[in-house]
Amino acid sequence: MSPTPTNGAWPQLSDDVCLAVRDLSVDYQARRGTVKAVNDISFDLHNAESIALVGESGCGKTTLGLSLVRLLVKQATIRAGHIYYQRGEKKMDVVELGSEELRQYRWAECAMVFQGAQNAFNPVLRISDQMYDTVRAHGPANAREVRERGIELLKLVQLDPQRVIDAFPHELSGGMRQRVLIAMSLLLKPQILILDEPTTALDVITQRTIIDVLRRLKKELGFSMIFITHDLSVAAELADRIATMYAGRIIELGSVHDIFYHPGHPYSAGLIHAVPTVTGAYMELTSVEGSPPDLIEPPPGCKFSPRCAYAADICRGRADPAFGRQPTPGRLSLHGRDTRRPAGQRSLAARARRGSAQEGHMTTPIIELERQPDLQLEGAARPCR
Amino acid sequence: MASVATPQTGSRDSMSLGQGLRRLWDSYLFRRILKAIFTIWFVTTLLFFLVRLMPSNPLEIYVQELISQYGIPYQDAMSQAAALFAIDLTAPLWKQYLSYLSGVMHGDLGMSLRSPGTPVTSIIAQFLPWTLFSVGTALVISVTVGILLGILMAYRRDTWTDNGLSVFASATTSIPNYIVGILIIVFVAVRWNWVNFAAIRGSLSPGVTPGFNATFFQDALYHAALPIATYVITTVGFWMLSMRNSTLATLGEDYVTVARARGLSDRRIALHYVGRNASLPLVTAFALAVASIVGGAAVIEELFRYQGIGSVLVQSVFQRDYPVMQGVFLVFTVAVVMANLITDLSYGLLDPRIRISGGE
Repeated sequence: MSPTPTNGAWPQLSDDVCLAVRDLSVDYQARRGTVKAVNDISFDLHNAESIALVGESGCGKTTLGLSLVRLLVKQATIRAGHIYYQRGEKKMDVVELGSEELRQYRWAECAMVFQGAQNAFNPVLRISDQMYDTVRAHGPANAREVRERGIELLKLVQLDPQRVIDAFPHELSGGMRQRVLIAMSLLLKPQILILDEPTTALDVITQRTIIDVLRRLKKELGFSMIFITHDLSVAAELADRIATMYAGRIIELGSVHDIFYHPGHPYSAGLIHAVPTVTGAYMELTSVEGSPPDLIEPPPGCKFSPRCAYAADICRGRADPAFGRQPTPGRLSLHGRDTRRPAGQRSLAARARRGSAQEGHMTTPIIELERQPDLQLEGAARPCR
Repeated sequence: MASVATPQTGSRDSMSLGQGLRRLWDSYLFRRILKAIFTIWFVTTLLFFLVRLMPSNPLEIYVQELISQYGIPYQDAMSQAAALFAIDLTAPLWKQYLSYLSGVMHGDLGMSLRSPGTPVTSIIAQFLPWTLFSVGTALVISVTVGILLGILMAYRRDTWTDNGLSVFASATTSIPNYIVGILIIVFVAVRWNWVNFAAIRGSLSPGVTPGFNATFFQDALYHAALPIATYVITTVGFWMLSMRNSTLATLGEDYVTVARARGLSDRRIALHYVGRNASLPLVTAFALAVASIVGGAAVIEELFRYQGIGSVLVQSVFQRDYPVMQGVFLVFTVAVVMANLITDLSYGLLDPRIRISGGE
């Protein structure tokens, strides 16, 4: 929607955007060299919207999530980019925040629910004390009011407040702790909630409960959500939009419907076809062949090209082809690949499975991007250089 | 909480009695105290027999001393020694054991063989305070300094501060305390002559009497300074390294990250989230430290001629003064067992995960 903002200048953002990430890049210093974990990521998060970040392990999902609250480990640095946050009159660039402002921003504006809440709580303090700690850190707090608000939130996440509020963390099950953490994340009424694999390591029934709780809470409280998952079914249930990440880039960002029914990028398609369906007829499950690229020395050209069934010379050829940088962004960043598919025709992935039979057709690049101006995709096109 | 359903057998009466006993047994405190008493009894028994398995015996040693020092004929020396010694060493061992055990239970540790008429309890009462003072002071200094330096090392990990202190800590912990003691004597007292070693011997200077006054405390500290320095140097490294590792592990815990995500202040996190959890493993180590420092006291006190319970032990071993040896060992045993007991019981107060609910 808006061009890349220059340093220090506030970008043009529509009022319903609460978080605008621009050209965000994060590096890790490793012994072998610099790991480019997140590269040139841009996207807008709107009020009451939920975006799912999906992708394989190591694709940068969690790093992206952590960088939004600046909780990266010491070895990581935000190399470039901006994270614009706005809430009414409050406007800030999270990347530029000083330590005290950052402390105030965390949890009150943007709360993060971590993967596996097993150890998310201080084992020697009661839940009520940790809730009080949290409120106290952001201003004056009245112990009784905090307790009442805590009880109210625990009810919202379908826990028995009397049993939980004064419990020590070890007295709660994993699923309960996850829900307590979700309750605690809403304590300060943040505008954004980041959830890092909120259902991983839980049994299916607990997963179900948590998904239901999140959906209801979002509807009732109206916060925005970014959640990180590699479970596409969770993404389908909770998300308004899905961002597919690969090698530290968002390679595709689109509505749930579009991503599931018209995946533009072969990798998105590959992810979808790796998930079994319950109601569908027998379908051969395929995994995406190969493994994610080395982010210290990434392959030239399109980072997915070594694993891509459609990769043409043009994908690998140039050092960093800029096909994705379209002035009018399309939904996908596949280089000039035509993914338009008349109804009834096999999906891209289905054709991929046919493989060699249609090889001739597949390797011919068609320099025409599918344009879907109704979607806000300026970020989507760019990462897929 | 962790109660296991047991098959219910027996009549009603025996059930209620059994349940009563079971409830008592389920009480953690009760079980723990029972265990402590058993340990003390076991060690006491073991020591009673071990002491008597040592080559030679008090009678022979005393007779040898009389003969070599005064040239008294063997027969005379024997009769003099026999009249002196209060206990009958010729009685069967099991009889001696039983009478010793019943004495211990009545708080009577017997009479010293070599200082006739002096009860072992009064010897202990006279010398133990000095050891408690020096060892206790050393322990407090060592733990405090060690924990603070350990946290510093963890927060500055992989810097020169951390590396330097790590090397110091590893080196000092691996040198035996008697070597450190000897080095201190050689350098501090003899080579560099920083202290007057002749004057520092003993627990107090002549003319100073125990009491609540500055002169006494100053003098006591002056005499205890070198033993305390030895204890501190040889144990502080352990606390430093333990606290460093423990703090590092805690810093990596999820709840510390979550606490930061919650916007808690660094101070709050350092004290209530890192510090409190990191010091938990050290509480267990405290009991072990008491044991090692008490054991080391014997050698160190002898080395510095400090008149504590350790020097009494060494002397009594040379003289095979069975009752004194047994008494001192009993004190050591009780000290170590009590330290363990207190540690175990207080751990529950510090860590709710270990807390045992008495009711269920």
